Amino acid sequence: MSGGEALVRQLVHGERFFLDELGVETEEVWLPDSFGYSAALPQLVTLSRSRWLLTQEISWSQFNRFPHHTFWWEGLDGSRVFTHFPPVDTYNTELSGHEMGHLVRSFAEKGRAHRSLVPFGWGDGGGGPTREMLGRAAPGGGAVVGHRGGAHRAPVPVRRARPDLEEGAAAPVPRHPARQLHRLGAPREPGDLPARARRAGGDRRRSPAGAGGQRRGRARLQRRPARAWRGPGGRRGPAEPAEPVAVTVDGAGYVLDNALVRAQVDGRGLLVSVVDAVTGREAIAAGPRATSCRSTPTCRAAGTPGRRPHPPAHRHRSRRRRGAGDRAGERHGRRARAARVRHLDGGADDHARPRLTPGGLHRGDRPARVGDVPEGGVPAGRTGGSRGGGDAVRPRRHRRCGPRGPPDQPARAAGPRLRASRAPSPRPSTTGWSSRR
Amino acid sequence: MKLADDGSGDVVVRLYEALGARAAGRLTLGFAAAPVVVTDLLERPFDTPPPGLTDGVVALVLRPFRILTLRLRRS
Repeated sequence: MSGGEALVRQLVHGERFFLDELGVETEEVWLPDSFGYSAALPQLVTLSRSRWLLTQEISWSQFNRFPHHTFWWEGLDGSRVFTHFPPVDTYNTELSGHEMGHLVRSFAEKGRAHRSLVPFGWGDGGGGPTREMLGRAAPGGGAVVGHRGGAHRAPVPVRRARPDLEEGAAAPVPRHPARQLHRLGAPREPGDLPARARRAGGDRRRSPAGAGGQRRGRARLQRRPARAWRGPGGRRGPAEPAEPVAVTVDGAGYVLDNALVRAQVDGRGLLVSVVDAVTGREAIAAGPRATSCRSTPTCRAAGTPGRRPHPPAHRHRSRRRRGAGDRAGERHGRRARAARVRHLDGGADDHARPRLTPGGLHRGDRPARVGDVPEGGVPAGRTGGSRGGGDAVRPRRHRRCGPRGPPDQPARAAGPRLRASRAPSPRPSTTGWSSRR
Repeated sequence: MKLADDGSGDVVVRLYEALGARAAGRLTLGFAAAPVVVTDLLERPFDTPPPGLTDGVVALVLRPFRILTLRLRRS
């Protein structure tokens, strides 16, 4: 298993070769056959200014099956890297029907993700696809012209067993360290826990040491009290403030200070700063959007100034199911206090502009939000679609903080990317995995 | 610790926080250096504010398990 610094040198040499010889800055880390992974790997990938990781070795765990094939891998330090683990479970793919069937059956993100990748060709030993493999992969392929002799022949699949798998089949399976785990108090199986908890309770009643005694063994796990929050000075229970909280008016907002923490709330009620008085550490990331919800365009628009422009409408439509009903999109800004409603059903393209009255859709100083339907309804237009003769304007999916907004595409930051983007997963694209520049 | 791959004579120091806690520390240099920059693994600078350097001492703050690569230009 490669250590962190060894991985650094692999990344440096590999990336520098592409940079110097081909003028390409690679964005992907290809680590198909690592016999274990450093917990710092996502951080190292990020620090090499790469965005993605592909690995295959997870296929050959002796003990368990990894539950995902496309996922964000979070490392020890919190860095995240978008990772693909090809569900075909081999890097020696010939694109055979057997392999394709296997990957379709095993792909864990089926339904959520649209694509998986297949490492194609002679992977173990290098060399890429053979002529026969290319012939099989070509549309309508199945028979290829042999490059020797020129006779037509069916492709002969040459299956090379992985040497390490052959060894693995011959070697005895290592014993599960059940006894040691048992002694440590760890349940062997998740399902064991209730039964074990009952046994542990019985032990405690019989124990001469009493409930407070230090007992070794499995009972300890259940007897340990729930971890209480420790306040300043190691006291358990809710903290009493070391100092009274001083609240001072700061412009339109407030500053709260108890000599441990200094928090700043601005005029919109947003927490814009929390500073640890001991270390001077600011806990809120810089930027105007601190502590405002960023999950959906609605939230982004309603939250704070400095917002990004609304994503183009076609992106919304493309992500919605056909005929999904009403969709309300807002115009932003103080002057455009009208919601524009477009009905997508039945090919109709009608627009309605509900009036937004004070106390109605529009509240205070922020643009209308779709979720803000007042009591008694909005004096809304009707959209004349095919859904029962017209639907009143009401939010359907695109509610505040709902999960349906278009995902943030992780921006290619111009500045440092010490941490990978925490944006929702983009769908992997086939082109995305090749070099983009 | 190593010399920069580009042959410039700059000194590259890679540090990491191993205990899983925020850590502050000082790196004391035995040679005159200015400036100090934080770089990626290929020793290209990030746009972050450089760590403070006073009298040959670099003040450092590391997040838990953070890997930090510093590039020191000898002056």
